[in-house]
Order: sequence, then structure tokens, then C-alpha cells
Amino acid sequence: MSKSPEKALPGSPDDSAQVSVTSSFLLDGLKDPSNRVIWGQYVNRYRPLIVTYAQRLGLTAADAEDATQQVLAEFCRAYQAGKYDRERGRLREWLFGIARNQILNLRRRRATRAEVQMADSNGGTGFFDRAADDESMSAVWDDEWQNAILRDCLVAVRREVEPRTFEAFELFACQGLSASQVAERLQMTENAVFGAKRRVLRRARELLANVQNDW
Amino acid sequence: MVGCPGDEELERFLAASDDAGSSPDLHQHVATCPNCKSWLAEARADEAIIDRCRHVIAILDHPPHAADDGAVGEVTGFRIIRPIGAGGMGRVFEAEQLEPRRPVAIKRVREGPFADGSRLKLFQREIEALARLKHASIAAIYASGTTADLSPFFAMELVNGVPLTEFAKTRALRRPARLELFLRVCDAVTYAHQRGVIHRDLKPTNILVESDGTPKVLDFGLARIEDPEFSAQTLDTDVGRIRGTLAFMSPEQARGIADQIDTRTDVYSLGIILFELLTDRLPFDLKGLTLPEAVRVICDQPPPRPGELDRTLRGDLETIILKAVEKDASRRYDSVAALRDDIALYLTHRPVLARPPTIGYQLRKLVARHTLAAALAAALILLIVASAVFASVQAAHLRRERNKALAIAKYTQQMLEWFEPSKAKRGEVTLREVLDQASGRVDSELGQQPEVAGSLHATLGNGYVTLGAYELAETHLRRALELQRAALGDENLTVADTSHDLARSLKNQGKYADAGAYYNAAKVIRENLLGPRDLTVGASLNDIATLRILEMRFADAEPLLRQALDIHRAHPEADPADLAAALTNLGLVMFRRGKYTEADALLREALDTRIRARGNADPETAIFLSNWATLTLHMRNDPRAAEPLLRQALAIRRKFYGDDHPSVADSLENIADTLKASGDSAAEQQCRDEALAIRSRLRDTSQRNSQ
Repeated sequence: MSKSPEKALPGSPDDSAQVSVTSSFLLDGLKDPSNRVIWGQYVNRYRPLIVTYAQRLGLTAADAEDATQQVLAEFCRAYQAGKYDRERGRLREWLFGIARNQILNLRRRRATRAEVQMADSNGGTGFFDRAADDESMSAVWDDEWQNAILRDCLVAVRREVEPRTFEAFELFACQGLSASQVAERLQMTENAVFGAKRRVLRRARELLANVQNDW
Repeated sequence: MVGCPGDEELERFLAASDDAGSSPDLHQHVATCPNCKSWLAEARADEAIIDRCRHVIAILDHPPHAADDGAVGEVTGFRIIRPIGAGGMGRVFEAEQLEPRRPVAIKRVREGPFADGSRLKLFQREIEALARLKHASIAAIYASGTTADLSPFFAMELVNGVPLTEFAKTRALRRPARLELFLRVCDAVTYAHQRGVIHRDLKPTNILVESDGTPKVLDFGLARIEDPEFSAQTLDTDVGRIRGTLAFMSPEQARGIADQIDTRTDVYSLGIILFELLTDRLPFDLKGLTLPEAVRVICDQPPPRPGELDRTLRGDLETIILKAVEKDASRRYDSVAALRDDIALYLTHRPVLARPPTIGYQLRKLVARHTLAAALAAALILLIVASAVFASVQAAHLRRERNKALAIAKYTQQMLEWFEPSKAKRGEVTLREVLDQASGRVDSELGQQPEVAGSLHATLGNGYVTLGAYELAETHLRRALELQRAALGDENLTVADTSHDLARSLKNQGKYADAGAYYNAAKVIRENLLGPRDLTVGASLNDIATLRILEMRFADAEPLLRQALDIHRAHPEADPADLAAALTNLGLVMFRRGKYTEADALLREALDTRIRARGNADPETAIFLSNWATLTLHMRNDPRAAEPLLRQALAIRRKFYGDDHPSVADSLENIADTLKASGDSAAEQQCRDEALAIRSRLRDTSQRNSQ
């Protein structure tokens, strides 16, 4: 069987998920191609986002993964070549531009095989691809971006609070169990369930406000 | 009520919605108390976040660490014995399958747990496809499913062996024995390739050799399935996984160019393995490099010549290895089978076939083809030239002769169009030589006849369009436009036609802005001379709309297509094929704008209209069938409705093109997709096999033609 993974990084992997890391910090770090920790944090942060995004736009899981790898690599290359000007646009838009192109390219080739073609006036045909249009592409991107930030924040909150608090929040607020069901399952009072929900949300909101503009 | 209720009470109030289960007093209080009102407003605002949380939490990294650190958990039908290692794919356990009773290796795939059932289904289908690989040197996949904690797993043949290169070293195998062993690996990989499965992660640790010397290739196709997007996989395992694989990774993989990964990607990895097998070292030293640095080395740094590491490798073996590890996939062996054959030839001391790649077979294929029709076209073009020259000296007959020449030009153009492979049976005609030959002569022989020369340039340009040589087409059409404008003035329908054709060749090159300008120029001329409701204006509108579609500006395309549709509907006498085109395009646009009901109706009408115009045996009708079927599948998720349409398209193409044609393979693959969606994996596989067989026969033919 294949060998166990190489342990190459000084920091614990959990650190990479901390929301305290800003995109400016990541970008500064990426300037140094040998900074593996940063490279890893960068991959860790944006990969799930881009993969989900690509899948929502209709790529298969494997294609989405492949496209994402290329997006991240291209981003890194372009960034190191000095093509990203922080003054001119936000990271979110820039990454979106790269992701959009990669996904469209991949879709285009796939769609050609799927053979949905448009017709010219003289009977010729051309490719037509089945992805979303520009407007929805960017709306989906923004949506996934927000999801990714929230995911990051929730991971951070989960680290801060008692496991039971977070679980109560999950069961009560997200999964729709009643307060009494959750209280019974987790051996706590119903009031504690309500409290857990508020506490997690309040903290998540705080974190969200902090990172929203530099994630 | 005196004083505000506590958080808990408000929480209950919120949870119980606004009436049930709370006292009227409380109601009244929160309706008036500013504090409680703002508490509730905030809480309701939180609902938006909670909504998002619901979505996010489902894919939040539920810590599967517990299982990773210890047991695999329960797996129905298997008895777990012990962990035997952790690969990039996840944990691996030795286990015993209970029915039939046999030793297996169980792998928990890192991806899970799946957030929803459809992804699990996808995983299972992929695994089923892999399970169909039955070869003595491929570790068989027996079963797949989910563990008690919902992580996907699969059970495969338990292989007791050591990595290929290690086996060769510890047994001190001599070179012929190493090569024989390598050939067996090539056979296994070829077997999988013939069934449409690419390994994507070939490396010595994935090729174990059992004590009797049988190589077993593991993890076939799994690199593609393995999909860790939502898992809690950590940074180090990720980097570790990439690193374990990096040394054998092809440049196209390292760059992450997904759609360039094909069987030649495996050729590359096998080449690196062969390199290591014969020199006992890797061509690139990637130790200590960062990922981006390593990628750069893989993509840019030429490998050392094996002959310089070991003089006895000079000659054929060195040539073979270097051809297998070419950076550019098109310069590698086309297939693992070809690599295998060269090694086999080497072993039997015959000269090997590896040699510097020759010019692209595309061109050769065109030139190599024949025939009477092409000769006829050549004769016609010469006739036009002759007529034109004749016309220039016979001043009295000038007008008549010129008309004649133009008529012939028109006729030739139709012939050229007839040669277009999709319009001619079997596409055995090529025009390239004829066109190339004629191109050089137009200006020199028709210098005195700008109008005729213009027409001929237009003919040639459109001929190149049909061949897909858009740059040459552009050159001729620009020249044609220039000559015709000078001879006929700007406001002229011929000028409009040429402008329209030029726009088409520009569009095909992706020069959308330029194309738009010429389409528009043609449209304006047509409107001015023929009125805004003329059919040719409809054609202009349709084609401008196709530009907007290509630019993804669907909202802009819609009104243009509605106008075009109006015009075509107002001309019942006209060829309904153009109406069908406008219908299909508007249908596609509405599909993209999410208006599925209208899209469905339009595409269905397009299909009916097309059949009315050209019958149901025409290859372009097959495209309409495919379009509607593909989108129906997408919109209604109704594979049963899509399949018969795709089968009809397939029948048309078979009849028209014969069995061995790329579009027949396309149809088969489309059918396979619907079968996959309806879960009929046996039939799906049959279609894929058939498509693959066609493609490999076509490849063989084109290789023969290019030799």
C-alpha cells in the first residue's frame, strides 16, 4: 500500500482553519514560494470553496477537483508574477475571474461532446454550453464565498465552545430538533439549549464581521 | 406584564412562532417593548445566518478523526482484522469478506461522509465501472458501500507484495527480467485503457509484485474518484499525497489541466517508472522543493539522458524512455500498447519504432484523401479562371460572360459546401490542395476583373471555412470584400453577403468584436435595400445572437432571436430550416435563463420544424434530436424520455456516416450518459465500450494514413 503521508509542516493543520488569518496575510506569505505553511493554508481555505462552486455549475466531482487545482495554481503563478493589484480589486473578484474561466473552459470542452449546439443561419452549428450565465455565475460565487466564510467561522466557534454547546446549536438551530428533544439527547436543560444557540450565533456573527472584508 | 421576559422565554416565543403556546400578556409586551422588539428583530435576522448554517453544517468537517485514528468502524458483510496502512485515499484495513469468504483490503475513502445520497450513488457507479476490470495483474475491486459512520468504502483484492522497484532491487533482477516484468504491467494498463479507465496515479507503490513474480496494479482510476472536497483531510496529508505522487506525475497533471489528461498521462508515469527501474534513480530530484517549484521542474526541466547515467542504456532503450516521458503528450507514445510493443521489439532485437514525431496527421489525412470530386472541383475552378480571362478579351460579351463566370463561381461554392464532411457521405473528399492551388492564381490571373476575383476570393474563403481553416478563410474574405466594395460600392447585397461570411470566419476564430461589426454591416445593408422584415435580415439577427450566446450575454441574445423568429414565421414560403435554427437558439437561450417550460416548447418545435424541413434522416436533424434529448435530460431529469431520441440520432448517423465516425461515437456516449442516469450500468458500459472501439479504430486508421 502507499506510504503514509509526509509530515512536512511545522504548524498543526488546525491552525490553517483559524479565521484570524486574513487574506492579506496569506497573500503576503505566497510571495515567498518556499513558504509551505502559507501555501497549505491557502489551498485549505480556497479549495473547498472552488470545488463546491464548480460542482454547482455542473462539473463532475473529479472535473471540479481538477479545475480547482488549476485555479489555485494559476492564481499562485499570477500572484507571484505580480499580476494581482490589491488596490484594483478584491481577492474575491480576482479569484472569481480565474475560477470562472477555468470552469467555462472545461465545460466548453465537455459540452462539445454533449453536443448541444446552436445553429447558424446557413445551417452551420457551433458549440453551446450548459453552464449558468454570467449573472448567475457570479451570484453563485458570492453565495459560496459567504458559505465558505461562515464555515470557517463555525469551525472557529466550535473550537472555542464546549462540544456539547456546539452540538446543541447544530441539532436545535440547524437540524430542526425541538428544544426538548435536544435537551434530552444531550442531557441538558432546554434553557441551556436556547443559550447554546444564542452563544454560537453571537460569536459567529462577531467573527463574520471581523473577517468579512479580508478573507 | 412588568419587566422584560428572559432570553429563554423570548426564545420560546420565537420558536413557538407568534401565537401558539405563549401568553397574551407576553404578546402584548413584545409588541410594545422596544428592547424585546429589537431582541426579536435580531433573532429573526439571525435566521438568515442559520439558514446558511444549515447548508454549511451539513458539509462542515465532521471529525472523522476518531475512525482515522483507530478502527474503521463496522462494515456490514466484513470482519475487520487490522489496519495495514494509510494511503492518500484514506485508511486501509485487512479484512475478511464473509460471503464469499475471502481475504480483502478495505479502504475508507477520505471524502465521506457524503452529505447527500446522490454523491454516494455517483461514487458507487464509479466503483462499479472499476469493478468490471478483471485482469490477472489488476487488483480486483469486489464491493463498495458505506461504513456504519457513513463513510464510503470499497473492498479489493488483498495483495501481498512489494513495490515494483523494490522487488527488482531485492531480487537483483537483471535487465531482461525487469523489462519482462514491466511489459506485464503495460499489459494490465492497456487492458484498462481499452475499457476506458485511466489510472492517473501510477507509481511503484501502486504496483506491487507478489512473491511468485506477478505484478498487481492497485488503485486503478481511484485518483479520479477520490474527492476530498468536504472532508476533514488535513493540510499535511494533502501535501503528503501530492508529494508521494509528484515524482511520477505528468506535466499536464502537475499543471492540473484536467481535460488534457488521457491515456498518455499513464504513458508518462510508466516512462518514469521505467526510468527508475533501469537506472535505480528518479529523473528529477524533487526533494526539498516547494510544490510550485516541483511543478516547474516537472513541466520545464528536461530529464537526464539515461545513457549518461548508464552507458549500456544508450541507443534504443534510451530512445524509448525519453519518448515515453516527453513533456508534450503529443510527442509521447500514443498508447501504452505502443510503448509495450517497442520494448518487446527491443527484447527480440528488432529495430524500434520510436522516432521523432512527424507532422500532424490532420493535414496528411486531408492531403492523402482523393478523388474524382476534388478533381472535378479543380477543373471547375480552372474553368472559372479561364472564363474570366476569356471575358476580359471579349469586350462585347463582357456582361454575359461575367454573369456566366459568376454563376459558375456560385455553383462551385455550392460544390465546395457539398464537400463538407458532414454534408458528404463518409467525408472522403478533401479540398485543401485544390484550394491552395487556386489561391495563388486568383490575383495574378484575374487582376483585370476585380468583381470576378472578388467572387472567387469569397468562394475560396468559404471553402476554407468548410475545412475549418479560418485564418486562411479570413484572408480571402477580407480580400473579397475589398475588391467587391471597390467594384460594387458599399450598399450592395453581394458586399453584404461577403461581409456576413467574413463575420462567420471571425466568429469561428473567437474574434467576437470584429465579427459583430461585420455581421452588423451586412444587416444594415440588407435592411436598407430589402427592408427590415426580409429573411436575410432574420439570418443576420440570428447570427448576431449566436455571437451574444458565445459571449454568454444571454439577455442580449433573447430580443434578437425573438425578432429573427418573428421574421421567419412571417415567411411561410421560406426554407423552414432557418426557422428551426432560430427556434433552437432561442430555446437554448431560454434554457440558460432558467425558463425551462418555454425552452422545452421551443426546442421541441425546433425539432419538429427541422424534421419538416429536412426529414428525419438528415445528419443535422440528428443534432436537433441530440440537443432536445440532452436538455430534456437536464431539465426534467428524465433519461427514459431522452434515450429514444438519442437512439434515433444514432440511427441517422450510422446510416449516413457508417459505423466508424466520431459523431457515431458521440451519440453512443450521449446514450451512455442517459443510461448512467437511469442506473443501467451494464448497458451503459456496452455503449462506452462500443464508442471506445470506434475511436480506437479511427485512431488506427488515421495513424495508418499518416504513415
